[in-house]
Amino acid sequence: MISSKELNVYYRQVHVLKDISFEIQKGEICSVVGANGAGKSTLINSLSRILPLKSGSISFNGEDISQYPPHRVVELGLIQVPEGRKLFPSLTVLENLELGAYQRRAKEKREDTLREVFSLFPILDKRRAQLAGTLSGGEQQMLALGRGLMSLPRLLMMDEPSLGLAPLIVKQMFNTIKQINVSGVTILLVEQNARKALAISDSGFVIENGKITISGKGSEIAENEHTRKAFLGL
Amino acid sequence: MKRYPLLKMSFTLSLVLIIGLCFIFTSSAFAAPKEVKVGLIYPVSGPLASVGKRCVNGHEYAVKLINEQGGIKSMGGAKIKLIVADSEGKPEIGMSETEKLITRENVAVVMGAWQSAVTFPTTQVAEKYKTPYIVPLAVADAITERGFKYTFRTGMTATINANLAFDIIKWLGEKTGKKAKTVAILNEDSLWGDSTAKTWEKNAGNYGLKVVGKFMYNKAATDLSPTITKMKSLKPDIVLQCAYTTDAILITKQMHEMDFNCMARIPSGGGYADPKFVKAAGKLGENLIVNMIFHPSAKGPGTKVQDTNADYQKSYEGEMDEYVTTAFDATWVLKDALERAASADRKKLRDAISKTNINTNNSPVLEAYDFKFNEKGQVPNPTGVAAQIQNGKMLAIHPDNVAVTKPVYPVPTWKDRGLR
Amino acid sequence: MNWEIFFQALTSGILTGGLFALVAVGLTMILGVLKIINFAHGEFLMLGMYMTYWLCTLFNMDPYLTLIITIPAFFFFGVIIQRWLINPILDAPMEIQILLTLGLFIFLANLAQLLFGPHVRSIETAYTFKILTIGSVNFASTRLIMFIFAIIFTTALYIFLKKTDLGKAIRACSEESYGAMLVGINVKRVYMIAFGIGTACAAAAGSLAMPIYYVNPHIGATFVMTAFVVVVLGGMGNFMGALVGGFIIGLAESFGAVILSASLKQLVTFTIFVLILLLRPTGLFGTKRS
Repeated sequence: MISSKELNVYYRQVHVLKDISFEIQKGEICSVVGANGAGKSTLINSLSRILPLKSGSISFNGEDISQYPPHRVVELGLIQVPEGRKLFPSLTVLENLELGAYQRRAKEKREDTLREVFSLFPILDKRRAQLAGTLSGGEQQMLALGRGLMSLPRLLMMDEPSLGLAPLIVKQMFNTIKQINVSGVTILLVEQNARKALAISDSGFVIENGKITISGKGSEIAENEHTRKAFLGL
Repeated sequence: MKRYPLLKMSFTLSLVLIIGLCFIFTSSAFAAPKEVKVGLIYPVSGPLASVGKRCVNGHEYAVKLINEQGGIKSMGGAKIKLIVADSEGKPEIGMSETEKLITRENVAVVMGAWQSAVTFPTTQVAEKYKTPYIVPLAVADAITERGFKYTFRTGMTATINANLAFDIIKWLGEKTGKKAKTVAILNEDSLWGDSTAKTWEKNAGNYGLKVVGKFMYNKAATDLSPTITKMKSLKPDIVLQCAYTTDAILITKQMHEMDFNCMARIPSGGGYADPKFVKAAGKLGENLIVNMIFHPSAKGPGTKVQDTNADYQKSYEGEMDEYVTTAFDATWVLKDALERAASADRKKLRDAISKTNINTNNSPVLEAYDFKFNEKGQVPNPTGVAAQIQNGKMLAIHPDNVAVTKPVYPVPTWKDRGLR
Repeated sequence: MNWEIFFQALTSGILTGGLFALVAVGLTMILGVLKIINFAHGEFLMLGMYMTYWLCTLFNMDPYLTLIITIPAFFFFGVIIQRWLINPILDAPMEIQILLTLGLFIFLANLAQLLFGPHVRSIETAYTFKILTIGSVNFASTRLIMFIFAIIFTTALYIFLKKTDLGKAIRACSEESYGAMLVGINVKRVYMIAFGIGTACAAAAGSLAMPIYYVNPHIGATFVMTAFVVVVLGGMGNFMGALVGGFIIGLAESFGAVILSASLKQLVTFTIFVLILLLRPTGLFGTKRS
């Protein structure tokens, strides 16, 4: 589905990603595990083509997207649900969702997708005319996810979707992620809550200081001695 | 007696040396004719550049004639060289530019600066450096009221100019039998407008006129209709005005818009004297009477005005209006003083200027009065020209000795002119 | 103040306010979407006036007909400026961006002076002499037409921003450009369009003002100073704020001129400006941004 080859990325003057190579298969849930500042968000933003690559390449569905601008990547179905949600606070819930389907491919099916999103998150339907900025944290996260789904993702990258949510809602969130995956969307998950994330993941890799140190199946990583100590708090 | 030839030889040698030296000095003086550097300070960029450039043209044209006619003869044909500095219409920039003219360019004399607000501080700079400063046109009285030794004004003061407006009102009344009784004053709020308006307010009574309202505005105004409405409710016979070009256009348009009518609007020169105003105001400007310092339609002694004006237009755009003419005349005053001083020394030049005595009838100057200075450095009795726009042309109507046509007075209402 | 003067001041304030609103809407749009203070805004207005002046003078066009040329022409002019001048420095520090728009302001003013000279120019059209009178209130037909067009343009722009996808995308970019990028909005393109619209607003205001005022290379500053006050008053980047603010300032100047003096009407404007900054720095319609 997506693969990168010897990716090197700088953020300002700092060499954040060093020779990152990985591959995610279609239909998988893949978790990226790592400490704060290890380069997880940088990786996602590099894949979204927001950050410039120093060297290396990214291929998505067999297409080299290394030189694409962010909006073309979205058109291809490589969608990011960012950390901190990045909603449009003074636009309504409905407008936020509609903007999710801004690209032509998604726009054509906008009404259908909207119905699906509302059935997945009925609360958003109830709040459709409300300004996004007035929603609760959990509702905002749903809206962010809903907006991402409106883009008709083929690969959905989620950056810290459970951050700042109540435990009950976190649980719902992971259920929803699984549900989305079952409907045929490949998922790349970056989570602080590494244990929960790896539990639902088919594969995963660990980033430390900008380098991939361990990779493999989700269960393998969860059982790895080093990961257990460093990231799972066991 | 052996020593005698030696003495004789040394004497001869010294003589040869002295003559030689003299020759070297004088020959170098002749080889490169002297130049007299004259500094000009005007707003040649910015919103007032349109007028500033015409002032510069007046100086340039006079200098061209002077240099063509052999320069300053008493200085071995020294040519006048103008150095133009840009005040941008701002007092603080005017000051630093004047200082540069005096200290870096080392000019013998400065001329400028049209706007009173700029002339005021720049003459002060010149006074500090004991450099003569000739003011052709900048009317604030205070400019020559500060006891300065180096400031000379060849033109009007606001008081003289303001009183001329009353002379015109009086003359119009006598000529047509329709006497105005009340005046309103509408002026922009810089030093020029303010000082002129204050003089009008103070002196109107002396001419049997009552001031019914006084209105001030900033020349950057975009809408003056509320002010005009307020003035309309006071029904003045005459409106006396001080305006620059842009606000003159705005006021003219909005007086029409608000259907403001009176016997006559008599603005004091400024923007109303700008030919661009006449063009821009079009039909709305018709029959306006402008109290001007000079207008080229005026009859002069012989055909001097017409000839000079025609020759001027061969090299420059536009007529010799008051800006061009006052600058032109001031330059001739300077030339006369340089001839008598035979030196570009600032002190000697100042003394020569103070002793100026030029009769307009046998001098190239165009304005119809004699140039001499009182102890304040002011020409005591300058006269002006009142002109009226008739069929789109400014024509001199007052005083009688320069008039080329009769006044239309009272000015017909907008309705009577078919404009409403 | 009698009723005659009151109603005249009210009418003048509202009519002039319409123009201020149109200028300010363009300025606030650029500020809101691009987060750039566009000091050259007044120069676009000035160039719009010149375009109308020349089209009227050379081709005898109706001044209001020239809008169909000035609006698209200045839209593209704005797009080009954004594409080649501003996009390259979007990530630069704010001082650099301010210097750039200031430089553009000086460049355009001087370019106009070079091309058209420092003279004041004004047009005379069939409308010039049509004055409307309602009761004791007088106003030029040109002033009313200017007002009506200004309202039509701002309303159309408001509907565009509210109802169309592109309009929503522009609002999205102004709120959260990062989020906008992630939903596949070509942010740089939206910036170009927003700058184009802002420029077109200024130029349209210039075209509408031409039959009433006059043009010289320095007229821009006269209007844009007021527009800056309006933008701050309404809340930086706030569309409705700019619209309402335009009318507030129009009325404040108008009544200020009657009650105090025309010389002091800018004092009224800037007193409002300072009070807003002190008491409600986010402006009348602004919201606190985290």
